[in-house]
Amino acid sequence: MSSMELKLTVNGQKIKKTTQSHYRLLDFLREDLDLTGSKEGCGAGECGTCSVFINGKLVKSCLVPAAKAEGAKIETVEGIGNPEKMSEIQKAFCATGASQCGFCIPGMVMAATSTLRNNPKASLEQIKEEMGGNICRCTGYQKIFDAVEMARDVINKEKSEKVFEEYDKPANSFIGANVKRIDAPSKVTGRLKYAADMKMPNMLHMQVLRSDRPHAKILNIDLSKAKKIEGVRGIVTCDDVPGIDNFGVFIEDQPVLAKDKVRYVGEAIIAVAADTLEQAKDAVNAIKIKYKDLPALYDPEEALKEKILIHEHYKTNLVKHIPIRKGNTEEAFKKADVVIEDEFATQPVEHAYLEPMAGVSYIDQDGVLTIVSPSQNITHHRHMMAKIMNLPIHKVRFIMSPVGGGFGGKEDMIYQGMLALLATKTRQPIKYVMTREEDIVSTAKRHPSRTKYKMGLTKAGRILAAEISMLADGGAYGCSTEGVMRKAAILGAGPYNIENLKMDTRGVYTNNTPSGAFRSFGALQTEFATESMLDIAAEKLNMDPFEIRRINAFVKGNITHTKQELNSASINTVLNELEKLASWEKGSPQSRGNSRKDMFSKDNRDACELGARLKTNGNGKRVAR
Amino acid sequence: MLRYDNYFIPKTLKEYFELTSKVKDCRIVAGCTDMLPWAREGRGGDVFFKNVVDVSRIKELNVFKFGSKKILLGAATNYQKLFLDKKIRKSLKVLPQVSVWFADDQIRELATIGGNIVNASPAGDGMPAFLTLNTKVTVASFKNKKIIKLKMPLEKFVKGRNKVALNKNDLLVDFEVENTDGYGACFEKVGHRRSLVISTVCVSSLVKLNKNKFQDVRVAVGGVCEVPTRLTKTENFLKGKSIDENNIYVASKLDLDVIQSRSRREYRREVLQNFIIRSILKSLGKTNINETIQKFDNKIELKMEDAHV
Amino acid sequence: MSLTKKRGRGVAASWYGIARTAAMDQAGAWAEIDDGGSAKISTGVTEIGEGILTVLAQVAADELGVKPENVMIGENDTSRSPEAAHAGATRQTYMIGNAVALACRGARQKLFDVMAKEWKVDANTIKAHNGEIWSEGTNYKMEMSESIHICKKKYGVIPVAGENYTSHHTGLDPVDGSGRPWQAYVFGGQVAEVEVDTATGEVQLLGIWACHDVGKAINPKGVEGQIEGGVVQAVGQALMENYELEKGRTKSGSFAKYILPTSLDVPKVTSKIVEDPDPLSPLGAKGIGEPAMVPTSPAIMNAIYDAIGVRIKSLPATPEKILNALKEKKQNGSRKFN
Ligand SMILES: Cc1cc2nc3c(=O)[nH]c(=O)nc-3n(C[C@H](O)[C@H](O)[C@H](O)COP(=O)(O)OP(=O)(O)OC[C@H]3O[C@@H](n4cnc5c(N)ncnc54)[C@H](O)[C@@H]3O)c2cc1C
Ligand code: FES
Ligand code: FES
Repeated sequence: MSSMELKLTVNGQKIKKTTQSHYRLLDFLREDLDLTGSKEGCGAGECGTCSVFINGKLVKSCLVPAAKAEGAKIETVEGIGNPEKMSEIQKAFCATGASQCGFCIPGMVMAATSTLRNNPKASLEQIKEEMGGNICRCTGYQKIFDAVEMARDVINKEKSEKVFEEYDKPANSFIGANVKRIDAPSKVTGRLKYAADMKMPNMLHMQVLRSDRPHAKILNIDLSKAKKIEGVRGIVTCDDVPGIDNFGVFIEDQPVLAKDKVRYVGEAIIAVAADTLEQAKDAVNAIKIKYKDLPALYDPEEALKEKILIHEHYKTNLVKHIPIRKGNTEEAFKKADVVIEDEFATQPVEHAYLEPMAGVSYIDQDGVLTIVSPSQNITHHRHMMAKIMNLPIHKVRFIMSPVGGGFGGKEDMIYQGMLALLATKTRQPIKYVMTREEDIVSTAKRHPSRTKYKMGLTKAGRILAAEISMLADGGAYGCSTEGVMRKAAILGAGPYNIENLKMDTRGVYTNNTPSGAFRSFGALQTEFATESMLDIAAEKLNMDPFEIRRINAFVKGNITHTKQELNSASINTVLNELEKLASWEKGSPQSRGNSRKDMFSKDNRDACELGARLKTNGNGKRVAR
Repeated sequence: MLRYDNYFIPKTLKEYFELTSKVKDCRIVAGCTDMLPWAREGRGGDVFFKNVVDVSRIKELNVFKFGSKKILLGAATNYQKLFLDKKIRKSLKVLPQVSVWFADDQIRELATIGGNIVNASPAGDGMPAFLTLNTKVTVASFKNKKIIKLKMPLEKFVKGRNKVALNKNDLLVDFEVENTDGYGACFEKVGHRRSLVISTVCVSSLVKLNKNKFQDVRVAVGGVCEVPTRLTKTENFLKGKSIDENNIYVASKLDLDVIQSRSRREYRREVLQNFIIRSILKSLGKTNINETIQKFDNKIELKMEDAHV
Repeated sequence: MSLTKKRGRGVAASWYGIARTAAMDQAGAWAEIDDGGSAKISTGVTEIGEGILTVLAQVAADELGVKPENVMIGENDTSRSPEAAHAGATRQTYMIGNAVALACRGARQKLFDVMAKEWKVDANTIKAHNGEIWSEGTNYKMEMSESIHICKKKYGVIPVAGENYTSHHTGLDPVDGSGRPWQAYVFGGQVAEVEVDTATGEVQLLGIWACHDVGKAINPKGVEGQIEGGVVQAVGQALMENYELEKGRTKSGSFAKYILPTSLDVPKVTSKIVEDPDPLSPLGAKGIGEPAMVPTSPAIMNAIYDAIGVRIKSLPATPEKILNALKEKKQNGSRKFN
């Protein structure tokens, strides 16, 4: 690998350093200068976690070759402020609660800084537009906008610095108080270390060879070339697993590394550890695999026919069926004034937490196998790892590093096993950071679903009966499918008192990317169907949509779909408060659209037209066209 | 991952050609905003070049010559300059508008017009706008130790999807565009979100009026065919005609067969027609005869409603 | 160009269960009142962005009488900290919050018992808040830092305790599904206001009014943050995100192809918190993480129907789907139910 010498100024310090020729500015900052406040969320210019100033201009440092920065003045989030001395913008981010997981936040602070440097009086529309290249998956942006507006007003002396310190607090209690987030200062300054920011002496870098086939037998693996590559310290396959090789949140059906066959594109087959990331990549590229393609399943309906089996030993593709039965739907439909039938579908969705999967493993001073990762379930992972590594449980230790967004996506133990194998094999610390692309292909998604629905109601809008059947694509491995089906079934018919219910949810194996845990866990899919059905019913019955919901809403003492007595039920209060909050104009949902009188309130944002800065004359004030 | 051994940053055309004629195996980059995302999994993968030559600081590629008829923009001009420059905002109105829709502020600081055109993506946003500015580009090559420059219309330069009229080590040097001060201009784009998105359809329009008639109309489309193209039937139909909703509506239908994309064809067709109408109307809106336009804005929209809804 | 833009509103409701489903859930925590009137908490918790560290600091501060900024929360290490199970299922505030509250009560009692002896008062009269400790109805009052010094140095007591919170859930019957999957439920509802551009099929979500019962809200601003974030994830789900596969191979393998909402796609969110405290747990808090995003997509689809009379039943409602549905509606004459 060739190197070069770089001279530049970073955060006011003159720097002269030998670095790798091909490094991007982001690599140079993170690897050579340990300025890990700049993050790599995508490596392709799409997310803004890597934003830095070059000669006063904000750019995405993952798209800048380090060589291009020769002689330049660089400013990173570490140069903007530190927890002891934060900039106005950083203070405002703390004050409004603008940081959640914090992974996007250094980039957001940079984008906000750039926006207000370019135009200290920027309007909200201009702020949104200038920060449009920075993605946040957690906050919904609102508190970020609030922070930038707050900082702007303080910078312009329209508000006093005191706004940074104020927060609401009831007397004599901290419960119910808007105490400022205690983790905010470390996040807005980039000081917090996520797994990918860690470094250890003698640390090796792991890379993974992944399947490019949806369903195939592995006939032969040729490692001979890979082993010869300089710097390679360890290569592991499924044969290196000492214990019982499977894991999974509900059903333990997934091997650490593919065994005999691959079941989806992106499945891990071989892991390599080498002195440098580049060497590990070269080794992976040098591995040859011979496959025999197998017929594959992509459609959950097809999966139910069981002509092809994804996991032969289960003798079925059905991962889980959850039935709920209450009353007698058939009889009830006969009594209904209207019966509505329809179908609904939802798509697979990526968690897109901004922190790609990452972890470090090592053997600690007590000889305990240790894994540091942003796993959302270290208790369970430790159990599974002990079994996989054939170790007593106290010889396995998991440390949960700060999580740069999870949303359920970090509940599966899909890479920690490989880290453990290589740390055990090489006795050196191992680090693994997925690229965004790798993370997207290999990790679980929200279950795509199809739901068939039949609902019978009286003229007055009472739901007499519902039959709901959801089929979900669980993909190649079980992950959280069982739990997702359960929640989809229990909650799917909504917060409504329905005496006759037939609910079925099924999750099946296919050769698609696995589906797993995702915020709202199945309930999102089935409740979407129910809430659409209620609108269709309200239109048919010429009823207000709030009204039809209230007529059916649970009250305290009602029996739920799973026959549990409710000790409280606030749905009516919630609906009443919502109706007031939204100033809802009563009426049936018959495409009233533009004729409504309750729209266009100031609680809407302006529709985005783009070009907010083209419409101004520089001082942030709008001018007429 | 993109790997290379050497990264060169020549400062003049001469320096560039001397370098590339000496050093074998050179790969050109400018802003790197196409190159670096390409060298990743699922696209180019792990890529190695011996030598990378960064042309973004070559003097000749950074010219900005302003004339009342023609304006010369160096190929290394970035989109943020097109967005911010006051003169450009006045005389080349369509360029700041494309820029608003182009990536984001940070990418625009890097992304060059040359890189965008050489990349020749069917969904690239720059080309339709430059087509409506009757752009001529200059290509430089090196023969017998001499720099040879060749000027050609943009349409000739871009030959197909990812294909341009460049031989190895040739450089795209500059863009000569027409000063269109006095024209109304509009750029419309739709993708899967409001911004930072690949175009499904984009349309660039320039309109000049003479009293109540169209004196000049230029419309180009991107995202729907291998190479973005001018809509000449639409343009010719409107030139000299009076400004009324019927004319615009009839014109909007004439070029819909340019659509080559197989995917989402019907959708693209519908949007293209709507965009032709809308962008012409919006261009008119910028020519200070607002009142007449407002009146038939509504009429033509009723027509659009009728046709599509 | 206003005629091609159509506005509409829709509403949807939702409910959700708190903590692990249809299985016993438990969390443990240790608490200690430390020198200087600070507090040490150790439990199996790591911040994943939901604000749990701040919530726990508030709970500990409130229970122990110290200041929230003086609460230190230890690392989450299976070999060093008490088990508190996974970071998911909207269980953090409910399970770990209550475990920390109970542990703090244990530690506090030790300090209060000592101070009762020191002041010769009934331990029930002792209160502590925001770094001060006093005996109600007397003149006894001092800084927490001083009282912890007395407790340790004069009485040899370190106020420390460990506790556990359990939520009793049962599995579902395999035939009819009956069971007690959770002990606490939350309810919510949202109204969406959209603008549909009928020239392109684009939908912009402009406003969300969100009303959620979260039980006792420990940090209302944190609850708002969860609602706002949940709504925007649902905007992605409802309008743009799609992990598309073709024969098992992804067509959306990077952020250039997998489209997420940016700052220009998100609505203004107006939230209202309803507090119906959980009768069964010490804090009365329930949760908001997952429930926040459940009603958003149906509210948006219902709003689209209100605006243009087409019902999108398969997510996401992409511009293309909208235009196709509009065309279909036109071809079929008037509005149809199906
Ligand atoms: C997040 C993101 C968003 C984007 N959004 C948009 C968008 O909205 N619209 C759009 O159209 N594009 C978009 N792009 C694509 C890209 O930014 C543009 O195409 C850009 O203009 C390319 O210019 P560059 O200088 O960065 O090209 P580079 O990557 O440096 O080069 C691209 C190609 O052109 C060649 N080249 C460059 N300059 C010359 C020259 N002078 N002579 C000869 N060959 C040359 C290079 O060899 C290379 O093959 C986006 C990219 C990213 C990463
Ligand atoms: S934009 Fe650089 S890492 Fe995402
Ligand atoms: S706080 Fe923005 S991505 Fe998590």
